Amino acid sequence: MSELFSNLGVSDFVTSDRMLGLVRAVLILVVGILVARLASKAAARGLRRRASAQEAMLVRRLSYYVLLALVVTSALHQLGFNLGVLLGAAGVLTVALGFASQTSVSNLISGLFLIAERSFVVGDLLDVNGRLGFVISIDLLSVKLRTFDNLMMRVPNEEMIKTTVLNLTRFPIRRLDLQVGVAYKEDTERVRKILFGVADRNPICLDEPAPLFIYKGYGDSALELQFSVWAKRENFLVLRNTMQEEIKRAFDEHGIEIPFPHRTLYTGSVTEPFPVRMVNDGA
Amino acid sequence: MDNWWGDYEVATNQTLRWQLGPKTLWITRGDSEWRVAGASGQDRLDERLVIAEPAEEPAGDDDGIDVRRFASRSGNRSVRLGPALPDLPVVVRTTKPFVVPAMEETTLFLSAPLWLRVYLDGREAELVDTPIARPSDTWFGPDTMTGELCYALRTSARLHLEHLPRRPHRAISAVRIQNNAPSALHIEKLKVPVPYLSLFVSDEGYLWTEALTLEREEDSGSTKVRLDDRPTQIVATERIARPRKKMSKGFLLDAFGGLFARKGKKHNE
Repeated sequence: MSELFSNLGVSDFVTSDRMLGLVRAVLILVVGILVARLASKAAARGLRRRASAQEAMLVRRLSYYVLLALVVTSALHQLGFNLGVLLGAAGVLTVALGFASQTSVSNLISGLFLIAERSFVVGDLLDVNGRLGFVISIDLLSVKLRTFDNLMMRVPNEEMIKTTVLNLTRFPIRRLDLQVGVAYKEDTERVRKILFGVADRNPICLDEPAPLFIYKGYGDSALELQFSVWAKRENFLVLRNTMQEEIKRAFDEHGIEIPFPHRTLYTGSVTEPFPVRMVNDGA
Repeated sequence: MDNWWGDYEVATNQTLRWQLGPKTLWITRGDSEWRVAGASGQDRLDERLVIAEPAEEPAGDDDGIDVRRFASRSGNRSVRLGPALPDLPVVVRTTKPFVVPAMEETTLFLSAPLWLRVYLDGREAELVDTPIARPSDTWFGPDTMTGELCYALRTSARLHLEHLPRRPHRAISAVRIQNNAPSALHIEKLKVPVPYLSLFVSDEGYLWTEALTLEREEDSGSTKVRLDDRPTQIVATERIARPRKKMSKGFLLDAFGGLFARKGKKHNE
């Protein structure tokens, strides 16, 4: 049996330098990966107080991959690979890979810029190309949003860099622009007073910045007015509902007409009056 | 004047009703629960005061009545009502823009709205913490991006105490303003950090906060805030409410509105 082994060179191999190298390489890999994982976690934990969640995540991933690369190269070195040659080959390979993975790399770099720019953080409400969503995570390739109807929206980082993104939750207060139309017969000064009265009675409508009244113009069927009021960001939706409801009620109370679209019919060059038929159903 | 705060004993299945200005409160003791119902009126100037009057329990589905139920051991017999100051700073205006020249000082009086707290049988944690008359929100800061959310007071700050209306559901604060800076201080509005103040009862039965001093050192916006131990204008009997927040030493505050006051309402555009 031992002859068989010696013929196959197994015992030589077991005691040879190559075997020792292999054992060392495996040990370096196992211990190295463990250390890399622990070290990156510790780095992220250390940063958590000073940096935002995604920066900590980025540091964790970067440090992990750098340490992993070091571990793998030293393991390869133990196995007797000539790293110089390997790196040369890798250079050629990188060019080929670079062309192949252009999109991913562009997203990756955009991701780094997005994180550095801090235009938004996890939890913010964004408007991306007309779609609203809360940021769940900012990853290396994409930003993930949760829409109001609870769908996950994945936006590639490259697109986030290129398009206009509205952050609805950056500042603590928001303005609500209400478009109000009143009939031409109404006295706008009186309408203005009623609108300000409604804003004054609504406790979530901010006193300051004061509400803004803009006379926008003469519309087809109505005097077009804009009434802008401010509220705490979290109260925005409540303000939108309560204000419109209260304005309608106040207009009804004071007999102010919110007109429907009017249409005047012209029947050609001869403007005879329209025939009107009286209906009396015997009531 | 009768005090509306204090301990009240409630029999099983009895309802007591309080009317504090615009706020109506019903407290009912059930077998193993307490039911607290509240309703708010629209009239901020309402001055009605009804204390612990036996009443019918309101039906919960009535419009505008908010009913909350709290589990409790059947041994609990009494509730305590207590006043508290607002949970945000209040912003008060002066009747006309007011100037404190360099190295001068003045005292302004203001009346802050109160919150109502309901406690069970000597417990520390309150069941309910609700405004008696909800003040309007307002923004206090140099622009619409930086600043602080506050409550706006409808009554303005007065130079003379006798001009200030006294109501059982409001607390009076005396704010001493010292302008130690070389330039005059224009005051249109003033932010008062009421969450850091406590409440005292005067011998007449009105509520006061301790006196506070706002010291303006230089031309910068920030002001040093100093609290006295008690109200200085009255003979205070006892402290009945602790502050909501603890003030750190060397507390600085932007009390006079800085840029926003000067720029006015430009930010709307």
